[in-house]
Formats: sequence, C-alpha cells, structure tokens
Amino acid sequence: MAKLSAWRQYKALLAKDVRQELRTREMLVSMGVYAVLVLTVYGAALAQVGDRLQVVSFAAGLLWALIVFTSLLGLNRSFGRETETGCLDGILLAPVDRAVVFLAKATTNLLFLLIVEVVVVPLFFLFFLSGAELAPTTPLIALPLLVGTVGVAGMGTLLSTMTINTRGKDVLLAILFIPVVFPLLYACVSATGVAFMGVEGTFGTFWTSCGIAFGYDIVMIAAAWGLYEFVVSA
Amino acid sequence: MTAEGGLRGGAVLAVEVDGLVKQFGNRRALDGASFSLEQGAFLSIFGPNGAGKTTLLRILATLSRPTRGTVRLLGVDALEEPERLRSQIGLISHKSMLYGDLTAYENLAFFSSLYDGAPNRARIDELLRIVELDHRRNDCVRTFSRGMQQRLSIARALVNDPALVLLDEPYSGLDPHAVELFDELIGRVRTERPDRTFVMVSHDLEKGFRMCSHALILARGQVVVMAEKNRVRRDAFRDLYLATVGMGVA
Amino acid sequence: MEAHNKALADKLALPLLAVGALLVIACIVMTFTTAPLVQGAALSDGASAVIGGTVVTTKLLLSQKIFYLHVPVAVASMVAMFFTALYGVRFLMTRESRFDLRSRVATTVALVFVLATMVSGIFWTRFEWGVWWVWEPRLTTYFILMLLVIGYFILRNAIEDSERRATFAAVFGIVAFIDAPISFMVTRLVPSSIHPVVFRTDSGLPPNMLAPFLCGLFGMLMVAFALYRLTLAVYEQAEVVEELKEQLEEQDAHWSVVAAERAMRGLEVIADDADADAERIFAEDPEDTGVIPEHASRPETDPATAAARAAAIPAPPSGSSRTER
Repeated sequence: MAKLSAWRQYKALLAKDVRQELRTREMLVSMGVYAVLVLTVYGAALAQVGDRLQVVSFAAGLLWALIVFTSLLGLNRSFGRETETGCLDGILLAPVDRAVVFLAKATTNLLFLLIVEVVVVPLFFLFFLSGAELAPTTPLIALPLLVGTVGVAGMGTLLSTMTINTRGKDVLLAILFIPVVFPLLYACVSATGVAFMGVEGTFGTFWTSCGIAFGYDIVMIAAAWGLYEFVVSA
Repeated sequence: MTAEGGLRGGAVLAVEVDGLVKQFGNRRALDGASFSLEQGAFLSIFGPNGAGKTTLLRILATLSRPTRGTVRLLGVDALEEPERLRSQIGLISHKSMLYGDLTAYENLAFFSSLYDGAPNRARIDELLRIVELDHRRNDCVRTFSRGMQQRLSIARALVNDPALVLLDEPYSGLDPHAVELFDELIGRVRTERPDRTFVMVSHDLEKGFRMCSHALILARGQVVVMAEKNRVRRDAFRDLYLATVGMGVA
Repeated sequence: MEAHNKALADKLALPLLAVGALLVIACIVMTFTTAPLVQGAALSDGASAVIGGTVVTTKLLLSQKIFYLHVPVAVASMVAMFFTALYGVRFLMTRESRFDLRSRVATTVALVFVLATMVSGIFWTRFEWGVWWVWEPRLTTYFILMLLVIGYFILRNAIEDSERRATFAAVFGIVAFIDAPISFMVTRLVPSSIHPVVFRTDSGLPPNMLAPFLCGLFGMLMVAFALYRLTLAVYEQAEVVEELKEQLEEQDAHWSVVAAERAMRGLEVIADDADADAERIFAEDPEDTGVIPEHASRPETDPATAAARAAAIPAPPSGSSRTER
C-alpha cells in the first residue's frame, strides 16, 4: 500500500509541474530563447573562421557548453515556483517521502531539458554543421546526450534546492554546479565528439566514456537521493 | 490506534510539549518550553520577535526537530513517528502555499492527492463551498485577491481533514473585511468539527485574543504564561503582554 | 575520553608543526642533494648532449624535484577533504554544531593545500613541458577540487541561518569529496586526443628517492594536522567569546520572565476575586458564600491598575543570585 501511494504521489508531483508548464510555457520558452541566444554568440565567435575551420571537431564541446548554460537557467526557475509562495512547506507537510520529492523534481527538470535539447540540437546542426560532412555515426550522440542530461538534472535538482533561497542564487548555482558536473561533462563531450567524427577504431573510447558518464550518474544521483532529505527540510 | 481516525477524540491531549529546546551553536530559539493543550481548544501564541514562536510552530508541524525535549501530538510522539502525524496536521501560513498558475480546484486536487493518492472530489467540493470560492474553482489562483487566496489556503489546509490546524500569522496582508471573512470561516470550521484543535501564532493581540480559548506568551524561548482566556481579563492580559515585551526581551 | 584526546591533540599541535616543518625542510635539502636525477622526456630532435663525460639523450629533470613537495601537499589536501566529508556526515547524523566547525576547519586546511598543489603543479608543468597549463589529469582534477573548495566557502557565506548553513555545507562537502576522485578517474580513463596522459613514476621508487619523499609526505601531513588543530582552537575560542556575550544578554531577559510570572500571579488572584465576588452576589444563602476563606477580606481593586502595579517591577538586582543557566 505504501509503495502504491509513493508512486501516486510521484505522479501527482510530476503532473502538477507539467500542468503548470503547459499553462505558462515559461520555463520552456525562456530556456529555448536563451539557447538560441547562445547559438547566436557562437555565430559571432565562429563567423570569422567559416570554412577554414572544421567545426565538427569541436562541435561536441560547443553543444555541451550550450546544454550546461541552458540548464543553469532552467534549474532555478524550476524550484523557484515551490518557494515563492511557500508551496514546498505544503508538500513537506504531507506524508510524502522526501526522496519522492527529489525524484519528481529531477524528472521534471530532465523532461524539460530534453524537450529543449530536441529543439536546440537540430538548430545547432542547422547553424554550424550545414556544410559539414557528417559521419554516419552521428545519431549515436543521442546516447551521451541522454546520459549526460540525466546527470545534469539530478545534480542540478540537489544544488538548486540549496541555492534557491540565497541572494544571488543564479551565480551561486553556477559556482557549485559546474565543478560538480565537470567529470560528467568531460566524459560526455568525449563520447559526443567520437560520434561526430566517426573515425574507425575510436569507438572503444565512445563506450568507455558513455560507461563513465553512466557510472557518474549512478554514484552521484544515489548520493543526491540520500542527501536530499537533509537539504529540503532545512 | 489503527487508522488515523483513531488519533482523535477521547481524552488524549492534542498537544503535549515538555522541555523543548531548539539550539544551534550558541543560539537558543527555544529554551525549555512546556505546555499542554486539550483537543478542541484554540491556542493563541503571542510573543515578541525572536521569542521562538515560529520555531515552535514548525516543530509542532513536524517540519523541524528540536534539539531536546518531547513533543506529543494526539498521543503520538512527534519525534519518533512524524510521518504518522502528518496526515492529521494542517498549516495555514502568511504565505498562501498555493500555485499561482493552477486553478483553485487543481491546487486542492494536488494537495489532496499527496494525502490520499487521488483527489478526494467530494471533500474538495465541500471545502470550496465552505470557503465560498466555488464560483471561482476554475480560475487561476494568480487572479485571486489576497483575501481570497487566504480563504483558499484554509481549504488547502483542511483538505486532509486534520485534527490539528496550525496558523502562522494568517492575518498579515489582509484588509479588515478579509479578516472578518477569515475569522468567520475559522469559526464555521470550528463548529463543523468541535474536536479539531487550533494553534495560532500572531502578532495581533486583538485578533488573536478574540479567537482563542487559551492564550500563551512566549518570550526568549520560554513559556512565560499560559492561561485560559476566561480566567483573564483582556485588558489585563494586554498589560501583561506589553510588560513582557517591554522589558528588553525583544 | 574525548576531552583527554582533545587536550592531548592541542598540546601536540605546536610541536607537531615544528617537527613537520623540519621534516619538510629536510625533504627539500635531500631533494637537492641525495635524490637521484630522473630521466624525463627525450631531448628534441634526437639530439644528445655530453654532460660530465656521459652522453645524455633525455632531459635531466631538475623540475622533477618539485614532485617531492607536490605530491605530499596533494595527498595532504585529499586527507583534509576526507575529514571535511567525515565531519559533514557526523554533523548530519547528530546535528551538533561542533562537527560543522570541524568540517569547516578541515576545508580551510584543504584550501591551503589545494592552492599549494595548484601552484606547485603549474610550476612543474612549466619546467617540464614549457607551458604554464595543460589539461592533464592531475592539474585538471586539482583545479576542479579548488573550485569545489572555493564554492564551499561561497555557499557558506550566502546562507544566513546557521543550522541551514551547516546542513548545506555538510551536504556539499560530501558531494565534493565524492566528486574529486571521479574527476581524477575521468581525466585518466577518457583518452584525450590532444594531450597524452603522462604517467609519472609514482610507485616503485628507488631507495634514495624514497627517503626525501617520505620525509616530505609525513612532514606535510604533520603540518596539515597541526594547522587543523591550531585553527580549530582559534575558532573554538571565538565561539566561547560569543557565548559569553549571549549569556550577558540573557541575564537581562531572565528578569523580565520572572517579572511577567509575578504579574500573572497577580492577575489570577484578581480573577479568583472576581469569581468569589460573583458567587457571593448570586449565592442563595447570603451566609453561604462558598468562598475560599483567605480571599474573603481582600479589598476590591480595579484589575487594570492591579496589573499595572504588578507590572511595574523594580529594576533587576545587580548581584547575580540567579540559578546557573
């Protein structure tokens, strides 16, 4: 009975976030617009080198930088809704396991990030890889994108819960988030890069990197899961 | 005590607090507060800023844990089994605790789902009727006035039919008309279920004293005085309160 | 037992600092005298040089000497971070502020040693590779660790409520401690296409390398421990001062509580009087008052003035005859 209830609470929490977002589209729009703005900056940054540069070789890095910055924007807004009017207390007051609160919030963040990625990654291809020769292995980037976004959502949820009530919360989130997520970023860029280049014989690296990213997700999210109770009830 | 219903009624005290200390490092928010309250009572807690009122209320709400001392709510140890008590507690705060972008119905349905797994439609309808917001059930809370939000907040706090209702400065930001409506609603809620206990923290001596059956003054983390309202004259209580506040306690 | 250990640790702190410093100095001296020169990267273009009568084809790394200090400070910083996380866990389990204090001090020590590691690492890279920075495993990991430690302090600074601050710092400290080794593994295991990973001779050191290395290692660890204890002592004393200040403030407050109690008793007496009077008025038998004898002869007074009188308590006595808090 208790297990059934936790699942329903999880669904209720998830539905509540999705419903709010569908109604206002606030997070999705702001994240989407921000991502396009970052792409614009990339455009200025790469405009001078145009054809001389093999953008494919560092497209992975550019893409992941984009994802990190966009997620920083979204994470604080996501949790802000809970603390503005004190709703978080309302949730904690109910017989809800704090881990369920974490999972629901992390899932919401993951969902929205993935939606933004689905829009932005093709845009990235449009703007910077139009003329490039894409390796046939390019669709494989979906795997590190997924694994990486899971880690970003999980750690971002934990850290944004801590930073939400502080002054200068956006900067503080960035200061904490980027070093913590660095190993994941490193591994994902590596895997994404290999998929982009599609060079024979480098795919061992691809699987190693994906494996490490996956390992990061497991370890860090387990830690966040266990620690979340302390953070959210503080 | 089997189902949650088994927690109410009978001779069980609603609240039993003994030697509550909330300390961190050198700062003591609560310093040995003790009192008890029978079911069906309405306790108003007064005290200067920094006296520990909100800390005490949060401990009663099981949102916070004391450093030392015991808290028993409805006969259950709140420190050992807080989850068991949560279904019997409701909180009305100066913050509305409502999602602005959801409708009145959706807000109540959400909180109801947290307690029951699925929204308790009958209860939600009944509550919307009691707080006189049925005609606005499908409007986003963002469009509500502060007074209406506070009334909906009452409905939210009662969605799980709690035996213990806590109020944290509920009057802040309400105009006199809204205050009257609020008080009227609370009165109605009290008569609906006489064994429901209320504990309110308020800065407003007038309003707090009017609503209550018991009054408590908290200063410097200790219970200075607790009395039944009808044992004390209002103006005398006011002088006592001012005396407590005025003596450099704040 | 705990107090005994503490006193012992405090007494040892200064001597340990001295011993540790001596060991480090010994290490430095040995580095430049007895430690053997290490063969490093090949000289460019397969050139060779004649030094001291022998043909040398690889760089003789004087820069490698930094290794004898660089590794000890790095190890010391990881040990300090371990204690950050350990005390963080203990804090979360017990909620005692002293663990938060220890966690904070450990992180402070870690910061010092991480900075030392970064600086020595940068110089090593400069001497060895000719560039100031390379994204190689060790430097990268320490850079991230440095950011994590700085983030820890910025986080602490941003939160005002002390219990919340301690909780968040503990959680972040634990996360940072788990993250650092993962960082290290990632940079080692994920092959980088540009910069080859350089595996130095970290293990299997020949004997005359071992001596200065161990001196340096133990010396640094002792210095770290001594710094930790000394800093802890300073912070604890600061807390004692704070507590004394609070106690002085509480002395004033105590008297107001006593005064309020007195006032309340006065009010209850008045209420009893009111009851008694009411009973007397409404009693059927005028003789049968049902009144408690001792209250019967009390003069009637206006309750408001009585309360005011009760409330006008004289100033608190100057002597501290109150009970121990």
